[in-house]
Amino acid sequence: MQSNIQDIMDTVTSKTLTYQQKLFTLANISERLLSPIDILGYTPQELEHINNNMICDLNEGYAAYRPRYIVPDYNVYIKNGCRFLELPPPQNLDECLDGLLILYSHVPSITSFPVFIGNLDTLLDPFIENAETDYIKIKRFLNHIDKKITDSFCHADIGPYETLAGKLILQAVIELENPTPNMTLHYDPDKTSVEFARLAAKSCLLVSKPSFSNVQYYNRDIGEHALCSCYNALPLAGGGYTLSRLRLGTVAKAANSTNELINNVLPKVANIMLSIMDKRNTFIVEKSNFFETSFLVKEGFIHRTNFTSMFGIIGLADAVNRMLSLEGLDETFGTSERGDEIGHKIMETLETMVNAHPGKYVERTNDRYLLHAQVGASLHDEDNYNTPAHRIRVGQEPTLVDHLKQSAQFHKYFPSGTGDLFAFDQTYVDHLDAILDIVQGSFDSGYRYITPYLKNTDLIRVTGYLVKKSEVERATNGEAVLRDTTWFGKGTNEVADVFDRKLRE
Amino acid sequence: MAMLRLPVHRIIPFSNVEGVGNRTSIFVQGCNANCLYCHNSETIPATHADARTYTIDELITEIRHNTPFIRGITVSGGEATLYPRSVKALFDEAHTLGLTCYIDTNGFFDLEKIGSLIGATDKFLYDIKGLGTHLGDLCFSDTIIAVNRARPVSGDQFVNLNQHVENLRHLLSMDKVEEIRLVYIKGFYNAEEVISTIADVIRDYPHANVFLKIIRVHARGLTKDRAKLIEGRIPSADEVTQLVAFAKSKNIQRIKQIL
Repeated sequence: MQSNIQDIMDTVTSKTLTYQQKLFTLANISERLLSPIDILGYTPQELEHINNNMICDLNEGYAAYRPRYIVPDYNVYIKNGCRFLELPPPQNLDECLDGLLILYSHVPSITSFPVFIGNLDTLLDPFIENAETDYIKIKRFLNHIDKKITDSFCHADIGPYETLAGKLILQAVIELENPTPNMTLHYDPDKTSVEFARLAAKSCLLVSKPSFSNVQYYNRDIGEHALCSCYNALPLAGGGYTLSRLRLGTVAKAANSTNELINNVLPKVANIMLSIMDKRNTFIVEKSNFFETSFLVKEGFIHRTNFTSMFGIIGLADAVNRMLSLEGLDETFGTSERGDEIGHKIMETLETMVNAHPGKYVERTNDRYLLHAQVGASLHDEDNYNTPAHRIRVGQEPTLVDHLKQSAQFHKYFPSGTGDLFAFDQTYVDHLDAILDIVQGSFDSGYRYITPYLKNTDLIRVTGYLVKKSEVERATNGEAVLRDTTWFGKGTNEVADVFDRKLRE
Repeated sequence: MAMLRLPVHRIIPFSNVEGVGNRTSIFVQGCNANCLYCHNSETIPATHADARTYTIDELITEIRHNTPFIRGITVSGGEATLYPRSVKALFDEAHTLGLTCYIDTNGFFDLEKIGSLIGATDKFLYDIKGLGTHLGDLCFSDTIIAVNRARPVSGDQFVNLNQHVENLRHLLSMDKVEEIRLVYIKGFYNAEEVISTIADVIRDYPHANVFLKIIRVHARGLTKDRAKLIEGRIPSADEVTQLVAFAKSKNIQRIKQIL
C-alpha cells in the first residue's frame, strides 16, 4: 500500500519504536511514497486490488532495490573468504564465527536483516576442536545474533546429519531461550540419528525451535534449498524476489456462491496478483541494478538464476467458512467434510493458475512461481477476517489426530512453504519418542513442516516466527522493545488468539 | 473373531506414558485387584455406566483412525489379562497394521491361562504391587468396592506364594518386559525387600535392559474415600530418593523416580 507524509511524521514522533526501528520504517515508507503505477507499471485495476485489501503486498516497497529474501550459500565464504569484505577463508572457529557475523550485516532482505544465516552446523563443524570451550563460543555467537539481528525472521538451518556442532548449537539454543534466530532441522529419518532428533524435539518443546522440516519432500519439489524467514523453502544460493498474498477471506466476501468464487472472483484476483508479481520481478532484475552491484552475486554467494517468487495465500479457513454459511451449513473449516472439499477447490484453482502462468526470471523453478501458505500479519483490519495460511481458526480446532489429518491434505499445494504448530503438555518432555512418532506420522500423511511446542513457555512461535510473551506484554504497555517481530506478534495475537492454541493432551 | 468382545472404559488416542513412543491406550473395564491407591478406580468394577463393550473390529477401526501417528497400542485397565482371548485377537489384528502391542499388568494372572496372549504381546509394563501378608490389605480387600468386582480373587497365590514375582521372571525370560513399576506406599510392604526381590530377578536377565520406575504414591486425583485410606502412608521425597539409591546399590542400572 502507498504511504504518505503523515506516515513519516508518525514514525519520527513514535513513542514505541527504537531508533533503529524508526530508521528502517522510514526507509520503507520512502519506497512506498512513489506510485507503483509510475514505477512498476501497475494498472489502476491492480492498484485497486491492493487498496481494497484482496491482495496484500506486505508493504514491499514499489521502488524495490533488493529481492525480498536472499539465501546465500555461506560455504563460499568458508572456501574462498570474501574479497569485498577483505576476509580470508577462516582457519579456525573464531575466524569463522567472526566472519559470519560480519557477512550477516551485509546480507539484504525486505527487513534489512538477513532471513537466512546458513546451515550452521555443517558450516561450523569442521572447526570444532573442543566441545567445552567451543560451546561457549557458539553460545556467544548465537546470543550476538539475537541482540544484533533484532528480527526473528532471521533463520538458521541444521541437519539432517548429527554433528557435534549441531548438538552444541541445540544446547545453546535451549540455554539462551532467545527468539532469534528462528531454526529448522532438515529432518530425514534415514539420515538424522534418533539421538539428534530427540535433542531437537526436546529443544522444540522447550524453546519452540527447531521446527521439523520434511527434507525429502522439499528436495523433490525444489532441490537444494534452505528454510528461511518463517518457513519459506527457497533455492539455496538464490532466494525469492517477492511475496504477495491473497487474502482469501476478503476475496470470498465478493462472491455470493462457491461457484462464483471458484469460476469468477478467484481467477480474476489471482491473475491480477500474478501480473503484480511479474512487474516486481522485472523491476528488481532489469531496473534496480541489484544483481549488477551486489558482491554476493559477484563472488558467487547467490546467483540471479536461483531466484523464484512466492504466491502467498491467507484466510483459506475464512473463505471456506463464508461458503459453508452461504450453502446453509452450520459447519466450520477444520471439522467439515464439505469445508475440506471447498478448500481443495479453492487451492486446485489457484494451483492450476499459478502453474499455467510463465513467471518472470524464475527459470530455477521451471519458470513458475511457487504457492506459499503465508503465516499472516496484522497490517490492516481485514487481517481479522483472514486466518494464517490454511490453518483452522483457533477455537475451531478438532482433536489432535483429526487436526493433523485435516491439515496434512493441504500441505501439497505449497512447495515454497507451509507448516502447522501444536501445543503439548509438559509430560512430552520426558517422552520425546512420542513427539517423533507424531512428526513421522505427519510426514507420512503429507506434512512438509511441523512445530511441536510446550504450552507454558515464554518463548512462543506466533505463526511462523518467535516472540517472547513477556516482551509482547511490555509492548502492549506502550514500551519500546528490542525486536520488530514483537510488534507483529502483538498484532497477530490480538487477531488470532494464537497464544491460546488448543493444548494437546 | 467377530464374536469376541472387550469391555472398555475409555480409549486415549495419543498416550506417551504407556510404553515407548506415541500409543493408543485402551483401558478395559474390570480388575481382579482393588488397590487402595488406584487412580482409575472407576475401571475396577465389572461394569460401569461409562464403559461399553466393543467388538474387535470396532476397536481396530478406532485404532486405525490414529495411524500413522502411533507406533503401537497398549491395553491397560482394569486388568487386560482378564480377557486373554479378546486381547489376543485384538493384538493379532493390530500386528497386521504394523503396530506393537503392549499390556500394562498388575501381574496377578495364571501363566497357563494366558500363554497364547503372552505369545501375541510384544512387551509388558509390569506393576509390582508389593510382597507379603499386607499385600492382601493393599490390593485384595473389599474396602470400598465390596460388590460387583470383576472375578474377585482371594489373592492367596500372590500374597502367600509370590506368584506375581514368578510371573515376572517368566516374562523376563521371554524378553517381554519393557518396564517394571513400584508405586511406593508406606506400611503395606517392606520397600527394600521388594526392590531386592526385583533386583534378584532382573539380574538373571541383563539383556532385557529393563527400566524400573519408582513412583511416589499420591492422593491427587483419588476419590475422597481412597485418599483417606492412604493418609499418613505417603513417603517423603527424601524417602523416595533413598529407595532409588538403594535400588542403585542393588545394581539396577536404569531407574527413574517419579515424585
